[in-house]
Amino acid sequence: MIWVVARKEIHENLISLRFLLLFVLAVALIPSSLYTEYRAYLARVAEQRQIEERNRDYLRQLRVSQIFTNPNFAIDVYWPPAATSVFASGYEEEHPRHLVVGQHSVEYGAPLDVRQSAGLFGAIDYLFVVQLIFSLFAVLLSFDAITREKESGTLRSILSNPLSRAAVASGKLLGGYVTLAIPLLLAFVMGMAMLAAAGLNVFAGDFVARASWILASSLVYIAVFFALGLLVSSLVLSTYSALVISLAFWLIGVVVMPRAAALVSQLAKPVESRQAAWLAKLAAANSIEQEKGRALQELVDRVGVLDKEGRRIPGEGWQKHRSAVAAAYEERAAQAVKRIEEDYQRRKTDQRLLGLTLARVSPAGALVNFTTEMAETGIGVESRFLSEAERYREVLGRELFSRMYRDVWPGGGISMGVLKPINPAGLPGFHMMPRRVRESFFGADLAILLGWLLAGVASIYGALGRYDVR
Amino acid sequence: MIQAMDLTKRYEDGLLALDTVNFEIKPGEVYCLLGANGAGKTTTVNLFLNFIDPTSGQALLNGIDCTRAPLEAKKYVSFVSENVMLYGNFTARQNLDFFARLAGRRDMSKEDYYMVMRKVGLPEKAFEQRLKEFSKGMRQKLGIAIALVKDAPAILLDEPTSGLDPKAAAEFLQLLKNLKAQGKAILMSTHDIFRTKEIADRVGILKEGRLVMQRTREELLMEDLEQLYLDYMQAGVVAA
Repeated sequence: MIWVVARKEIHENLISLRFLLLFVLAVALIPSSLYTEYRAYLARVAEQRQIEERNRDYLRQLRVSQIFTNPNFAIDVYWPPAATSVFASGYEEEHPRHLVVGQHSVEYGAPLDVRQSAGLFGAIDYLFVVQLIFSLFAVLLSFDAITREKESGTLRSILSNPLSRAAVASGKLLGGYVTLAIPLLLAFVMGMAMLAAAGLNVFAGDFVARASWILASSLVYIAVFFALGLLVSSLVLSTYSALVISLAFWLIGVVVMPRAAALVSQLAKPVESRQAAWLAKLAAANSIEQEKGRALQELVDRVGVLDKEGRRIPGEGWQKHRSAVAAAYEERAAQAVKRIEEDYQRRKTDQRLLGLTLARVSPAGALVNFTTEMAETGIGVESRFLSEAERYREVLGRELFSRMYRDVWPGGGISMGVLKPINPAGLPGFHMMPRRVRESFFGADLAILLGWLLAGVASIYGALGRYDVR
Repeated sequence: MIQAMDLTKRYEDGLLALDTVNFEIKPGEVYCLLGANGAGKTTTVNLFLNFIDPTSGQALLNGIDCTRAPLEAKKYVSFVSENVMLYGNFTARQNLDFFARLAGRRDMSKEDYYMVMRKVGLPEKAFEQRLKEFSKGMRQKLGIAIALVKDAPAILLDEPTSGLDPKAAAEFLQLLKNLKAQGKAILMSTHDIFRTKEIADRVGILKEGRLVMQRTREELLMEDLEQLYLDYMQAGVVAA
């Protein structure tokens, strides 16, 4: 009986204008957006290779004096773009895979802005198509599935037969969902074929596994909105009311909730900009550096030797005396900078976590987080890159910055030098292992989507079961 | 076959739509339920189809309680409504096929459907025509075709002749007579006194939810049904 109703639903939907429009949009947008994103990915890879090559040449030709004469000396580190970014650009454009590791901090590098034309309006990627277009059509295909039958009286005709209301609801869910999923699956397969034709080895690495999870989450996501529309349809009596209420729910679930979450997190846990934190670290380091300069001046006044003009200057054994005094200040500076960075990171993480947690309550928030993490363009990837770069900064501290000194004297003079030998070309490189699929798998997001779906489906059965057919 | 036992329905808003109604319709018998709008005719039909639950009493089909075992009870009944509610974008055959499958008939071929549609008098060209192009009379005929395909022993008709032109109504009545001849028990709610006189074996008049009169065809031969109906509509409510 369920399949009889489902078959009728499929038949009705297939001959509807709504389905035709969805089908055209799906097969036009998904393959083309995957192809466009693949081109952007290739451009990013090529551009990053060029920059890395230039960086390597720079380090090969770098002289030690160039390092300690530049107080802002830093090394650029990169993490190669992921092929799975074709599904969701995520933070790809906003937060680059390029960081600048200096003595006191890790800063964002310039983004690989390969898609300037998207600019103001944003790009259409697979995630956008599913998140907005498919969810909208899911609602448009389901909002009148039951109200239409109530209004025309066909629900009376159906229910005069020996089948339960649960069977009617199940048939409508199954049939409607099949018609919704067909364009997505077909467009997805077409997109994969197009990527393969364009030269991407889709079977390399974990691409297929990640793509499958992305597709699976998309299928659950569109089911949530289909169930939502059907629930409204089973609760209200008129098609017009069902349309208005369904669209309102769609707007809240897809557009308002994720954005409101960011707004709430910014209001509840305000954090200054990264640049402001950088300036604070610089100010703290400079202040301690000046204290160190004054202490070193006192030391020179005490243990230095007299020059021809009768002034005290560092003499023999100065480095030993200097190290004994400077070490404490340098440690203090390092600690102060670390404290500011850690405090900034903690508050930033708190803010993000609050925003993300609130956003993920909505189906769209859960889908975006799951998909971007699986596509390696999400917040998790960026956080990991930042923490790995921070570790690399500590390595550079040991291998580079602690092997030289730079003193700023009260009069403004600067003295600098090398304490231990430095080989710029031999500095350890930055390496980061790619995440495994299970490290990118955010089961909570999938559980949230499934939770919405189950709640929606259960409510449909309840609503239709209680409905008095008059 | 169709039996109402102290059937009562009070809606949540307090409206008493049906008050201890009793009747029984045997196989091969047509029972017409007359009454003004809001008298409880459609509520009676809805209770037999388990569209709503009774407040008390029982609606029985082939001895099966429609509230306790609705799916089992609905195997024994076909329903034809005032505006036969079908799918406008589907053809007549597709509609027939869908409702035949819902009724549990999976064994029917295209030719079987055509044969049933011929039997109810639908023109050949209408078989594969979309229903949105059908007249009301043609829809009613298709409704009867659906009932024929289901081949249930009981048939519920909710004001089936309202809005039909005289020719279509006459054709429809002929179809009902055929069903009666096949031994179907038929409950027809209607305003149409003229056609009630022509087809009914028994007549009941509902007023404000109470069955105020029941007469057999033989009893009605001596009386003017129209006058009787008007008299009951003007009189106070006393159960039959």
